[in-house]
Amino acid sequence: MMVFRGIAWRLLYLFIVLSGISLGVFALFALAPGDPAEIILRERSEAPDRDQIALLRREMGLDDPWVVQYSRWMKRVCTGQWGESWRSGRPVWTEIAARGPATIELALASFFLVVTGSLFCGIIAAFRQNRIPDRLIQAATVVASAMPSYWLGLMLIYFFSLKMNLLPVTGRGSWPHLVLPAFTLALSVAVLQGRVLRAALIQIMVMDYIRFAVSKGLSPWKIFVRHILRNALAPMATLWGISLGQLLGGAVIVESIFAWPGLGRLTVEAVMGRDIPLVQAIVLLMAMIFVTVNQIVDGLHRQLDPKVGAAG
Amino acid sequence: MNRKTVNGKQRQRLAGGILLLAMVFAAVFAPWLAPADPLKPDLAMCLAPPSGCHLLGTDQLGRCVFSRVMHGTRTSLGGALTASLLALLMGAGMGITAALGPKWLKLPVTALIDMALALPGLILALVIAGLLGASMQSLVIGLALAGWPWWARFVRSLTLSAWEKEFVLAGRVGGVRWGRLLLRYILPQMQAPMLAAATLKTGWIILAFSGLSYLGLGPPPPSPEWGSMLQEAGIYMTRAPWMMLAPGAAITVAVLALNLLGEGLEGSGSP
Amino acid sequence: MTRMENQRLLMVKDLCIAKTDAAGTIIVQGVHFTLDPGEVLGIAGESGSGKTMTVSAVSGLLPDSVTVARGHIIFCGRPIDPMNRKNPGFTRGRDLLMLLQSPLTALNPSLSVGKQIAEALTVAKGISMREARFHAGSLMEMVGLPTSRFGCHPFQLSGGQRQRAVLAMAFGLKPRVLIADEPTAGQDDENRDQILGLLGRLCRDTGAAAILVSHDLRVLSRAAGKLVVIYRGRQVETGPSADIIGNPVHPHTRELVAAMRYLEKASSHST
Repeated sequence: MMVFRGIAWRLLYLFIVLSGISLGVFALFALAPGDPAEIILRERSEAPDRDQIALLRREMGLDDPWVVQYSRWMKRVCTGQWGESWRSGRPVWTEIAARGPATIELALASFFLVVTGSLFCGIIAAFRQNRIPDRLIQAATVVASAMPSYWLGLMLIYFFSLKMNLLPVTGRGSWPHLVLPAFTLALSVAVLQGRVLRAALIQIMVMDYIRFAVSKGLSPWKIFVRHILRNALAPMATLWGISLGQLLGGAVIVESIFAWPGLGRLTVEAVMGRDIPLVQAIVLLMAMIFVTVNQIVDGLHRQLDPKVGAAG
Repeated sequence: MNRKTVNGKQRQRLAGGILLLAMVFAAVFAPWLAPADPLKPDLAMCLAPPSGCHLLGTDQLGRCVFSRVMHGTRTSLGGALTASLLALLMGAGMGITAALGPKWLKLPVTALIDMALALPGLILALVIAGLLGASMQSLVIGLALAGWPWWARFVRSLTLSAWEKEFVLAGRVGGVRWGRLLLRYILPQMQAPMLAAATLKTGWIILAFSGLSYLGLGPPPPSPEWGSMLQEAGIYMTRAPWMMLAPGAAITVAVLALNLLGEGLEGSGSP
Repeated sequence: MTRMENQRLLMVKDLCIAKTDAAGTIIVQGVHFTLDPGEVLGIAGESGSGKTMTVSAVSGLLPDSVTVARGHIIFCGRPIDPMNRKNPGFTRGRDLLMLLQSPLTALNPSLSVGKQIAEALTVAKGISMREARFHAGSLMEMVGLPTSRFGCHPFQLSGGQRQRAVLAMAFGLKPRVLIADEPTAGQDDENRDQILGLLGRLCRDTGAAAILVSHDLRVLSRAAGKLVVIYRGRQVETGPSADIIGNPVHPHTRELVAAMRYLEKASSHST
């Protein structure tokens, strides 16, 4: 953002964006059809009559103007009271805390696969440019990036779990449980980033400073690590950071395929069950994580690329 | 080297275009081409393996998988294309406003774009479509609302860079009217990159469309859709593994075609 | 091979460079020259004549799109395969160092210049990075680059400073043959004199032989004892600089000499 120079402006802008998001999240109440009071009472398996609904509406303040409702809700959000799940009646934090670790585990494992996989594919392809390994990786990239995770996952389960009996079918627990979901989630992201890395490496490999490094008599390993790879890492770090968001999004589907008890599945369950407070909490949390990660990636980019750091 | 990549791009365009045309053909003529009724259950033929009668086998209700995949092209491809187009139109409008609009409008629109970008698109689509209730329309609306921010940012930067080009500058100085400037000077420059991006983005939307439908957010049961077919196939995986083959392959081929076409169009620039 | 030839530091015989494409277009043909210790050879020619290709081939830095089709390169009596990264008895950097045309792109953008100079020293002396950093400072002073610039990244330095950083590396490596491609391109007169002075000092101090490549005979006539003139990929004239400049035979050499005289007159008028 060129308009906003300086950290103060950045923070102010971030604040505007986050409050905008909170307004959007609050508006989810309106988007969902049906009367919240009625939904809650039905979840408690009562056949609600009009008086009960009216009573609960007054209790929840649903009859107040929306500005009042929003400021009340915002006040609670800022003090950490994110409300209770309509379905279970437990605080949403409890629900999220119960599911969070599984998603973190899956996201970290996938992230590791994305980084190592893209490095592996990108480096091999760049250094065997237009030869058989490169062509194979290119072909695999084209197919893998078009393949839906929910198909890949099913086929992996079929072959590795049912046919060969190598890995557990679904669920969470031991290390082997993690293999298929993490791979499914990571594959398409990893191959696409491998291709970006390949292009970056090929571009760098013909640069004058690489030829000069060769002329200086540096060992090929040193040239590769300090001169070629280092210059490719600055743009890659940004991409890897962005991929965390893609992985969080992808987890929604992958967790459902493998019955992985994480936030992604919780999101689907909450959305399908119209459990608005839970949906709001998840969306708000994800937006905060996403925005924070983007800021960190930005900072990291400044560190790795001295030009950006000096300019900003 | 240069000529080789140009030929490569042509080949990509050709391959992608042919595949896509074949899919569109299948979608349009599905009722005449499909060998069986995609909706008619045949309980005597439940979970039958592929045979001469049913090329790709039958599902749990004895419906012909091949016919269902073919009819599914209409739902999945049609839905994704609609959502993609809506996202593009919305995003382009917002992007141009954010780039060239009046000052008081620029900031809120830019902030709105950044807000919408603060969530992974798939989750945004899931929440919107899910809360609207499982149906074709809500899925299309959800995906369009999740897709526009990307377009807005893309169009905004395209517009800004076009706005700074010398001949646009000349037009501005020469007093060309605003609307004419936009239509005749700026939009033609954005056509090629936007066409390539639209193709690639539609691929993503197909994946998301069928993915959400896999989660149960798509058109409700009897209607054939690739994602929900895969979801059913997952249930009957042990008894009828063939069920998951065709829908998944159909999605992959559709996305592959769009990716190839999009990459072939990318950077091919002006005619 | 005669005993006489064995004593030559570097010998290039009938060098022929061609493109690797199907047509195999020849870009450099029939280049011969020899270089003795302490000697400075100038290669002159207009841009695109193939002079950079010639020295790139000698340094083994040809891009993949071209190859050495014919000819020999002999270093200290040992033939060298320029298309091979490793040659027995020949160490890059210490035996032969080529300074590339543009100092703007010859430095790694993401490492500080100090570190890059130190890195060259680790190769030259086989010392650790820590020791090398210590020596790097004195090298920087030697070429007139303030040591306060040690931690600067290349983009923070001017073109002249970058060229000095490159020269500092050459001082550190002490190559037996130094090739400098257009070492003064894009520099103002003052910088040009200083850089040529530094190059001369480097050769005197270390006893290195040098090959200077330039389109500008003013540069070559001052530093080089011997000249090779290349025109459209062919060697058209060779001999002692004084003879060639005093009595140019080939029309192209005459043009270069005329250009030199013109520039000399222009600069003497302006001062």
